[in-house]
Amino acid sequence: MEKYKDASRKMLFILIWGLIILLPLTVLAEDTPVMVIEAAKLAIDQARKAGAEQQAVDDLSAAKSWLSQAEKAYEAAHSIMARVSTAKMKRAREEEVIYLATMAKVKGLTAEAKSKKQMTAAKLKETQKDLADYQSAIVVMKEKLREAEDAKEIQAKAEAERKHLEESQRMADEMEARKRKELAEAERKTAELEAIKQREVREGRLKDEKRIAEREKETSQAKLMEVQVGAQRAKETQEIRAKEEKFAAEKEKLAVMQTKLQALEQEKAMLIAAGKIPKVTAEAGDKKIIMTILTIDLFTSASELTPAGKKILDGVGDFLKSYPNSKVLTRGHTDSTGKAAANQALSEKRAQKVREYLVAYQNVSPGRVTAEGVGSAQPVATNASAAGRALNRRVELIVITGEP
Amino acid sequence: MLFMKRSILLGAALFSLLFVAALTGIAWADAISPSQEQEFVDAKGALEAARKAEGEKFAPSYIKQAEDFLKIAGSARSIPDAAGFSRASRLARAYADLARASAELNADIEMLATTQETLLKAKAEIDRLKK
Repeated sequence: MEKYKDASRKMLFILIWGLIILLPLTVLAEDTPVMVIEAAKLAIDQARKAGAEQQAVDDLSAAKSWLSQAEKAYEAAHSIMARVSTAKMKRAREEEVIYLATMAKVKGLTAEAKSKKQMTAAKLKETQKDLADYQSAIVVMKEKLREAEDAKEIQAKAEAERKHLEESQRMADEMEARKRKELAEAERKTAELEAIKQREVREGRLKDEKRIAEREKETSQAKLMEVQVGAQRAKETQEIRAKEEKFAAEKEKLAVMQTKLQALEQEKAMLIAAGKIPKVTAEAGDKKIIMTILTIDLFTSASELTPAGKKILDGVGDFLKSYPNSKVLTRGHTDSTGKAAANQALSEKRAQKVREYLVAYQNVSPGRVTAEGVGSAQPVATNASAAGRALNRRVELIVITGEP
Repeated sequence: MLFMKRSILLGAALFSLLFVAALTGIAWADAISPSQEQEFVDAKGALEAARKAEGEKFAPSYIKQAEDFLKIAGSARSIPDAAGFSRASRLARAYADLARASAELNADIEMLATTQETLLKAKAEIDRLKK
């Protein structure tokens, strides 16, 4: 058994090495030279059809060259000389033909493949270009579509927004209508309330006005009263003042009258006192007493004082002593006989003589007594008769009674 | 059992013959030149480029072919079989280039399809948007 195993191993080893050695022969021996040449021609023809004459010139040329060599080798192998060669040589020639034809076939197939590859590459390039164009177009179209969809979406949104707005508007309108209604109701109520309020206000105002009127009336009455009282008081005051004024006036008047009365009484007393002086004629004037003494009772023919004349002037001096504040004016008068200038000088002389006697002998202040002569200018009787002229020849002592 | 024994013996004989033939081939083979090595390296580089171009996704059969031929080239190098190495390297390079071209084509086709689908969707979108 062990022997068989060793033998089998050896046989297997030999078989493997035999296969390795004989493999080329088996490969090349698959087809006959004619078949391989035909296959090479077919391959070259296919390559030509595939455009190898333009696309794969070198490979096609190589294939043709190999085919040519194969055909030549085939012809050589089948020549008359070859027929007489040994089987081994025939076999070698066939192998050579198969080899050359195989090379031609492979080169032809390669030329076909390269040619087709060129065409395919061109077509691929074109297709890729088309694809790129299409894809660009797709991108553009998608972009447009997207834009359109966006626009549609925007439109849809706008539409939805519009509907929403419409709904909102409708709701707003409803709300506005409701509010308007509520507002109208509120206004109506407000109007009613306002009316009520106004009525109340009116009533209140009327009441207020009435109250105010009453108050004003009261105030007016009070004011009237006050005015009346004031007026009354004013009137009374005025009356009082008038009465007071009247009283004051009357009082003043009374005082004046009393003063006048006193003056009159003084004048009366003075007049009575003056009337009591012998040879003196006294008469009352306006706030003065005029005492008249005839010249014949006072002077001599030389215009000197006679003793009787001095006695009369002593009486006048006593009278003036009784009224120390009174002033006296001695005024001489003549009749119209003679010249006026002489009469004037004579009258002044006689007035001056009287003044000098009163100052010198009766101690009458010189300041109280003044003297003047008026000549015959102020006669009291006619100068046509001797009695008249005797009355005109006189000396008047005018005593001012205003200041007792 | 007897059949099995005979089969095993026959196979062993066959492989022995093959092994002898291989050893003979190796003995006859030329040495591999630097340029042939470069071709092998280029083939590997091309395969790598094809893989980067998503060859395993868009052109798995061609990738497989290139890988197989690289393995064959590797085997041929170990014999060494310069002619076989060179052929396998060139075929590997050619299949790797084919795988790369096919992968790029299929990638473009797929992208084109996707783009066209997207384009159709875009058109539909545009129509929809237009409506």
